[in-house]
Amino acid sequence: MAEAIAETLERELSMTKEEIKMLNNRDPNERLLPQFVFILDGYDEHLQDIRIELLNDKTDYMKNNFYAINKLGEHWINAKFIVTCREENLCYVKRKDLLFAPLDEKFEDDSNELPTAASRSFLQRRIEPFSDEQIDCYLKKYSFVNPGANLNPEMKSWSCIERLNKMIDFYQVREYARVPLLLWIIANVLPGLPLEKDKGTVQSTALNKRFFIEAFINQMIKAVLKQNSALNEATTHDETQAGEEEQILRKIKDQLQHLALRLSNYVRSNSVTQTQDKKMLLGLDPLVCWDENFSEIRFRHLLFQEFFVARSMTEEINELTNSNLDEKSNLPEDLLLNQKLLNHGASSYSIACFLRDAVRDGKIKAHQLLSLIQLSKQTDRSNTSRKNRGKGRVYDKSRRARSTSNR
Amino acid sequence: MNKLEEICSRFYVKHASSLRGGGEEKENTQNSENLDYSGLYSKFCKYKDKVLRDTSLENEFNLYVEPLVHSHHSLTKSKHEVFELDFDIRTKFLGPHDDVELKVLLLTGAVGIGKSLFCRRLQREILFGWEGPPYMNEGQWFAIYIPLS
Repeated sequence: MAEAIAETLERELSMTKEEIKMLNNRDPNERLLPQFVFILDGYDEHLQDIRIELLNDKTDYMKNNFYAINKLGEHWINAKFIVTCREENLCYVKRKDLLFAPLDEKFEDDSNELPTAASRSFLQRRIEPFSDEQIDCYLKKYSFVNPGANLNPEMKSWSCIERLNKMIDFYQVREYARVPLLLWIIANVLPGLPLEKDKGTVQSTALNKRFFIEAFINQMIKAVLKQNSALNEATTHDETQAGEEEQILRKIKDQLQHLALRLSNYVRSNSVTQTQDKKMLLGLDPLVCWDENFSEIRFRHLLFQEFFVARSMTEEINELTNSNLDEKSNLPEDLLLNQKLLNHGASSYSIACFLRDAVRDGKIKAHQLLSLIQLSKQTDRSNTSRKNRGKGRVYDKSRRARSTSNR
Repeated sequence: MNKLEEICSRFYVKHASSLRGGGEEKENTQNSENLDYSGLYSKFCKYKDKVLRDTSLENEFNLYVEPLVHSHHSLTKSKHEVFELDFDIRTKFLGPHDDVELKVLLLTGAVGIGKSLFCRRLQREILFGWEGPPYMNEGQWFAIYIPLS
């Protein structure tokens, strides 16, 4: 963390190492230098290295304490730190204060008791899901910022909000709508769906997160394609050209999928190397952006990246179980599902949820998952990874030593 | 050099020695530090300017709805009142009369709940209020946003 801070100061503020050192060694009473508050956004990746389920005793907490291991009390004595984490990645941590706050120095003795956080050194806040009033407020702003976007342009703003609210309830997505990112996606997608009142035959169906993100991505890509003059012509012509549009849509999604796998450190050895069409991808602005810090294209929100990883896994499971049922020896070692434990880590929860939705939507059939487990049971028992797959677990090669002892 | 940078530089050349005090020899040492400080402040000012001018999140900010939080006791897990998060942080964590012992604020929430957007907005608001050395007091913070993922 201290490195991340130093890197940011060097990169964003053009500070020299000497200047950073001077700030580190500043007199705590020095009033001529500013007091810093460092906002560390997304500590989740660092939690991957902690076996949260084993955080029980004093040593575990002391070894993994955010403030202690990063020597923040030494280097940034006057600074304050705001650290953000996904709720689901910390739900098994019993004492979050002991994992993040400065520990009371007097507990660095030989007692077996849990340490305590330094008195009044720690605050915890959890952002609450939107209330109905906040949803209305958001939709009001949305309809103001996007006048007539996918809604009837003649409809008054309040009517639009009312209609969107009705659709939210009709498709049983109010709980998703309490999350701002999903509400934005829902507000984009819902107007394109039918409402009971419009078509008497339409049944109220509960839609899930995977459906909305897929529909939103399709909508974004198609909007970009429409802007492309050549394809604009295509939409006005025959079916062949409509098919061509589908092909391009597929190609773009493949590229996004490829990008997601690379950014999430998944390796697909049998995939055809794709040339990244940067210009085209950057046109998908709400989905991806250019990250100047890393000088590469990244997803605007990690959730999109996780969606594409889960999508790749779904496709792979389908390919494998449809074609290789009789060729048990062909189960690839680098199966995406097999590369990382999905019960641990920053993105695991989201990816697992998307896979669950894929099963619920029938994109993966239950019998295909059973086939996958059957396939993984076979072959050499001395091979650790296969043995673990035989128990129906996903396995992370990079954590082989640690995971083996854990199991 | 913009106005703020100019103020920063001027302030340190002109006032630092009187603020720091000391004899002649000490004053010379302080002067060399002042030059460093002046350079640093120029960098702080540039960073502030860059953050405030950044328009990449304009669309998101247009739709921004202030997030709410429950104050949360870490041990009893009991929930208390509902606050606007920004107000809560500014008064309890960064306020002018805040507890100096408070070092870490852990902010959690579900995927997509708006943690990052809140942080970016909070940074802008804090930096907007940062006026540089002549008015620097304990209630003024300099916020640096560090994306870790």
